[in-house]
Amino acid sequence: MNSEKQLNKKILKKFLKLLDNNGDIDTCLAQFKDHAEFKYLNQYVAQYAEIVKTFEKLKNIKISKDLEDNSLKDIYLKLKTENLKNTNKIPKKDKQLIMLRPAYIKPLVIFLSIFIFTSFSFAGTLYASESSIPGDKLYTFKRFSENIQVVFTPFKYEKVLYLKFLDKRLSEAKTILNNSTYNNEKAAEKLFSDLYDTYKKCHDRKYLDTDKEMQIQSKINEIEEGFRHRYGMKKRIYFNLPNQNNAYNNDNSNEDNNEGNNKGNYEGGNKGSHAMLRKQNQFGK
Amino acid sequence: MDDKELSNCIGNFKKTGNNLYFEKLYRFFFKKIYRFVLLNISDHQIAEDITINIFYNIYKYITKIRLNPTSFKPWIYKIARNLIIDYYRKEAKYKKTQSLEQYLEEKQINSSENIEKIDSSFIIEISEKNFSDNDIEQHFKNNDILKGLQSLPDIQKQVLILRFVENLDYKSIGIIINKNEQAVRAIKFRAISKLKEFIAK
Repeated sequence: MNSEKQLNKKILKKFLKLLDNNGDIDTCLAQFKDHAEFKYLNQYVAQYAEIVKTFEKLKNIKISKDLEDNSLKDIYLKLKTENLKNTNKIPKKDKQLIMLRPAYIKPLVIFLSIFIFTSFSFAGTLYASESSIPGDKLYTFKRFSENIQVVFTPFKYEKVLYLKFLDKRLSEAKTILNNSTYNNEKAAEKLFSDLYDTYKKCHDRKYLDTDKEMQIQSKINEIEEGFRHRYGMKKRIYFNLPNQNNAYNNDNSNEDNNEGNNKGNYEGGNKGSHAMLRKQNQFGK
Repeated sequence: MDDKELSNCIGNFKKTGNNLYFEKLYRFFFKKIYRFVLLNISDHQIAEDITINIFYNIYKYITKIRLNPTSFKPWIYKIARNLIIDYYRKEAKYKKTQSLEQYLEEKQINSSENIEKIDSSFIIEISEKNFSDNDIEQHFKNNDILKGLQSLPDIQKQVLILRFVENLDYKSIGIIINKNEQAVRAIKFRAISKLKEFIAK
């Protein structure tokens, strides 16, 4: 092993590369004959040559012809049996019958029953929650299902969804207004803020036409007024509409500070087709 | 057999499905692959079984795969290597269960005084099975280098056999063992240096 340590590594690498490309050891050694470290290389090569020779002896392993022929027969036999297996496959009708064995039926029925029960209960609660108004227990479920719907619809078709939500909020607010015994103040206030948010989303994304927007704005104004009368809700928003005698302006409300501002905007609203949206300064006071 | 003949054989077998072309391929490759398997697993009967499985797989999948004559050789050796690995895996599982069962059976039959004797006889039986009277195994027993070869890890052993016995290129060896060409060279170099250390001992 000393020969390997004393050899220069660069020379060894060169020699090994030559050996890889050229099979013969003697021809490779001849190229390094003039080198100073030829002695060590020769020692190294002697071991290498011994290893290679022993491996070459392994090439001459004798294999009898009987083995070759017998194994070929075995291969053909194996192939034949494989083909027979393929032909003896169970036909489709029998397979379908096998699937209806009692061993399969029991878990299938259990699984199906659980699946149907859960899906129907989910659908039932959804159906029941559709007519709910804020303050009910099912209302949270309704809003939750709406959020899920938004997540799973692609951006292209969100327009339809949001318009649907706007209609729902408006109808909910109307039912609250018609119901004179409704007393949940917080829920009504929250509903109004949600209505405004959905309207704003539709407005920002330009889902609404000018006519429809006007209609919705007038509806929102009505609702706002009703809530203000009943619950003493602090007024936040008021749309100035051109072709409408604003009930708010005619009304002698407590909040006199805002009247001047409203009138100013009212004139401006005549010119533009879009109704102006304005937040009152008094909000939060 | 040249590359041209090989490609003709493969193409004709794919087209016609005639077994004569398969037999030609079989006669050409049987010795080499049997040798490769036998050097990896030093047992004649198991090597026979594995070679039969290899050619069975070749017959089955040769029509499904596009092959050049240059990539056909490594493909065959790859199948052989995979089947050898499968065999080793199965054997490892079998050995774990078998040895314990045998030991317990023998323990139940004989009295507790003779346990030491049984253990010694058991060891001798195993050793006799490993060194039977085959030519190659005796060759292995006498030669120090081949003893060293058996002590090497599987990848190094296979690279040495593929390089020196089967005379394959480094590129095709790399395809067989799923490694880079330079990595194969490094493995070969390491294996030879290990063999030298073994001889020096």
